[in-house]
Amino acid sequence: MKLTAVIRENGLALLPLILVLLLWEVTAGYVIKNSLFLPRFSAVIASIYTLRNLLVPDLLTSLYHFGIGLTLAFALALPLAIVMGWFRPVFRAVDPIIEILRPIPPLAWIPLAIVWIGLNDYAAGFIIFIGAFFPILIDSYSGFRDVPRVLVETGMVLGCIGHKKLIRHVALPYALPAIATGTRVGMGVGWMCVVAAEMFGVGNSGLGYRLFQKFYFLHQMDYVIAYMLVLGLLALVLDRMFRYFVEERLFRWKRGIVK
Amino acid sequence: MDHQLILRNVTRTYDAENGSREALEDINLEVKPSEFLCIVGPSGCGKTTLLRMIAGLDYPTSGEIILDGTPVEGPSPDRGMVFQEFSLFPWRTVLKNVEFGLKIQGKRDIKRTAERYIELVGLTGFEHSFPFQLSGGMKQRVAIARALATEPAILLMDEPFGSVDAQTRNLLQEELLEIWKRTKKTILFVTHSVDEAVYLADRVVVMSSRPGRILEVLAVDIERPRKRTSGEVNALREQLLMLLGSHQ
Repeated sequence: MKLTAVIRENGLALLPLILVLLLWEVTAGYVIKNSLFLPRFSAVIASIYTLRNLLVPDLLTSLYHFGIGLTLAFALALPLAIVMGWFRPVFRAVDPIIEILRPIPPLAWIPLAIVWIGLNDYAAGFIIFIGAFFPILIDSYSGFRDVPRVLVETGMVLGCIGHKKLIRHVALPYALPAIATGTRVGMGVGWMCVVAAEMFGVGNSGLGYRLFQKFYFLHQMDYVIAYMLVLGLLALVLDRMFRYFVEERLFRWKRGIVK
Repeated sequence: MDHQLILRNVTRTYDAENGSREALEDINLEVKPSEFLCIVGPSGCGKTTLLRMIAGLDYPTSGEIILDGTPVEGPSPDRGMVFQEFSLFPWRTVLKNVEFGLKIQGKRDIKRTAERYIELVGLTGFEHSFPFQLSGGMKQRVAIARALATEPAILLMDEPFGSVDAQTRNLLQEELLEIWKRTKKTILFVTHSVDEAVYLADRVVVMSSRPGRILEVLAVDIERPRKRTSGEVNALREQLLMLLGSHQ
């Protein structure tokens, strides 16, 4: 694509972005003139280059923590969502517990994570797990709870005898979009916990660890912001990948409803 | 092919605030093999409940429902059902919807069977469409194909054409008669439309409401294809409307 065409198509999205970056550069360089308070955008970009050797290992560590937390969250939330969504009594029995635990900020679990698990990768994973678990659970059980009665009865009439078959062939496919939505939200919340999860010294690498324990203590704000940008961009990429690989491919049948 | 359905003293009561409420009272009915039987009645007369009990989705409080000598206990693919609401699985294509019951039962050659029934309802070429891409009439055709694919002894239809426009409805009625002629299925068809009943049925069961009871079973001895506006059709409609009107 030619540059002019790119500008014409994405101008409305790109132009304000460029303006903000320019404003940042100018304000930092000529108004504030204090790199501790606000480093210049160009300095931040330069730091990303300077930090290139640290960046990849840190990124992999953070993705590892994220992977632990999210896998655990999904593996526990989905079965619980199935029984909560499908069996009314289970919902009534378990929901109060969920509703008491859910509003507790994931970061408040840090002391328990350290005491229970110790200062290791799994403790960080645990904090991310707490963040991701509830969104996945709640969207997913709604999916199972809201299966239209006529679809359940159709399944029964066509030979799905028993809960197992009905869940597998009717409820699960119906709930998949809700599960996907919950997972996406859970990924977002989980990622937000990464920095905090690495802050309390579970190891000596990771985006959050580096940002807080190293760069901040050295007052290298250009490095801090460089890592902030990486954290944001990585989440964006993860979200887009999820949408592309899961939602677009799996839910062609929803197109009439969604779009 | 000689499947026989017998309803003997079927009664259904529901628990209400002030004691129990009778929804259906002492229903006795014998459905002949390969018969097209319509059930008409005012809303609330329990005709849908009756159909659901035959499907095994509801149960009689007393009395029994016997299909081919065996009492009905719970749903089973030997009683196909077409619902009033659109009931296609939205995540499955037309082909996969029709294959559903066959797959659950572990049948072989399911694609070929499904394609045959898709052809029967005139939807060849739409195998890979998703339900959201189909019109209301097409959705109900798929539902009919899906219900027939498992080769049930009897086909139960609960106001299947209630939510399509009048012209499509007429067309679907003609197609259903054609399907019935080709498959020789016993069809139990619930409707609130007297016109529909007279056009389709061999016999019409007329029900009253609160409690739901059979008022009358009328034989429709009119040669097919029937003309919707012929004298004898009109006379029968008149008779049915009178029956329904006098028991409101």
